[in-house]
This record gives sequence, C-alpha cells and structure tokens, in this order.
Amino acid sequence: MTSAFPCISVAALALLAAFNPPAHSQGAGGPPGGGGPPGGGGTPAGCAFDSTGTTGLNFGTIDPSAGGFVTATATVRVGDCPSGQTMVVTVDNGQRMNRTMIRDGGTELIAYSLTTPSFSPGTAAGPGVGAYKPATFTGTLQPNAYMDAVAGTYRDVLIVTVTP
Amino acid sequence: MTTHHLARAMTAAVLFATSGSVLAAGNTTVQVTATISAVCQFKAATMAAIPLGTIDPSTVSAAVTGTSDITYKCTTGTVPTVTIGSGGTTLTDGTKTIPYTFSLGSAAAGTGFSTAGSAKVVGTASVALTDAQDAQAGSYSDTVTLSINY
Repeated sequence: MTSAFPCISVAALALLAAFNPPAHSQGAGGPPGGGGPPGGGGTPAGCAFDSTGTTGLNFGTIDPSAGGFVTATATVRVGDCPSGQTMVVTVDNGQRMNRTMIRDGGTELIAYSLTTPSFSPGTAAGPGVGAYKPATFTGTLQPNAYMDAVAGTYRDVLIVTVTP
Repeated sequence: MTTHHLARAMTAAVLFATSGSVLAAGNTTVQVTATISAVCQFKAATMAAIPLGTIDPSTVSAAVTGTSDITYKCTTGTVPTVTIGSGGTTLTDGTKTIPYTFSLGSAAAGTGFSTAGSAKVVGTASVALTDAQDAQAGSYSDTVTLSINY
C-alpha cells in the first residue's frame, strides 16, 4: 500500500528531468576539457535537437503515372550533449501509428517506409555542448502506394527522439 | 497525505506527456508530405476507327451510326474533359464529301495507373439519312483530333 508511492515519486522525478532542457546544459560544466565520453559515472546528460535544423520529409509532387519508387530524405540536427556521448535517434510510426499519410480533406492513405536515422557520414558521437550534427533518414513510396491515389496533398507527422 | 498528492500530480503529468502535444527536449517533429497530381493520358495515339460500313444509298432507311471507345487513364477520381480539336464534320474520299457529325459521351472518372484497366468516353459518328441517300460512290473517311484535359 504505502510502498507504491515511493515508486511513483521516483518516476515523477525522472519525468520532470526530461521536461527540463537546461538540466543537461548545466551538467555540461562537468567534463569541459574532454573530448572523451563523460567519465563521471552519473546519469549522462540528455541530447537535444537544433530547432532550426529540421527539414521535412517531402516527397514532392508526384505524377501517379510515373510508376517508380519515390524517395525523400529528412534531416534533423542533434547534439548539445557531452562530446563523445553516443546519440541514438529513433522515429515513431506517425499519427496513425502505421506510417501512412492522409489526404487533406479526405480519408485516403498513402503508405511509406522509413530507414533508421543515421549520422553517415560521421558517427553517433555527440559533438559537444552547444554543437549539433545532422542525422538523416529516408522515406520511400512503393509504386503501388501512389499510382491509384486520389489527387491531393497527403500528410503525416513523425516524432523523432534522441536518447539519452 | 503529502505523498498522496504527489502521486496525483504524477498521474496528470504522465497523461499530458502521452498526449503528444508537448515534446520533451529530446524530441522533435518532422512533417511528411506528398502531393499527387491530377493527370490523364490517352491509352494510344490512334484509337480504333469508327466503322460506318458499306452504305447502299438506294436501301438505307435510317441515319448511319458507329461508335468507338476512346480509352484513357487518369488519376483515380479525376474526370477529364475530352474535346474535339479538329475534324468531325465532313467525310471525304479526296474530292467528294459527305457531311456527318461526331460527338462524345460523358467521360468516366479515372481509376489510377497501377493496372492495365482504363476509363473511356464513347465517340459516335453519324451520317444523316438524307446525306447517306444522296452520297456519291466512293470510300470516305475523316480524322478527328481529340485532346484530354484535367
């Protein structure tokens, strides 16, 4: 009975930390000289996205008679954590949880697939506090996904997450 | 008592985070967009001829009419406008002529491009009875140029 509450309060602290961006900036005062991973043994500081560095995944205007694969690449800029911190970037499945775009003013869907975000060229090592590097991922439309689609603009929204 | 309040506040915060309306520092959003064009295209540069057959002016008793399917593909749901660019008024054998009419039915909506199927509009050619009865002997033809717009 009473033991349930301490567990919940621990979770609450973790959540508050996640909502508090300055936390990792202050933590940066720890290993300033380094270049190496944070050796402190504590919780690693969280990385973040550069709010101005994101490009959408825009497949452009598609002629449905074309029939080929259609690809587009999105870029996010991620970093602002201790230099050398390994950054893992993941992408969710979008607003319908199935990686589909929905037509404006309609209900028709177009399915797409995504690659795992990567830092190529480069590594997943954090570039340091206040610095960012691009991670990209590519979306693909299969021909059959769009050749019979109704004309119009289709959209989805992905949430991209970096850990830590 | 104090612990209990903390637990409640926590529950509210979790629901808020799950809603996805507010992103933590480690998240960002990427917009995904694609625009599908409305396009149409005839299935062939030359459609099947409309046969009017062999007409005997002495026995013909009604207007002579023939039809042909004009086939095309369009973006699904897109209804094209098929129009006559030239021709469609006079059959000729090179010197002699027979007046006729050429008309188009209503165009069907496109069904996309993934399959061999197509949509169509019916073209109709018709020679009026009196023009058939008074025609001179010969082999007559005409070419109608069509365009498809969307």
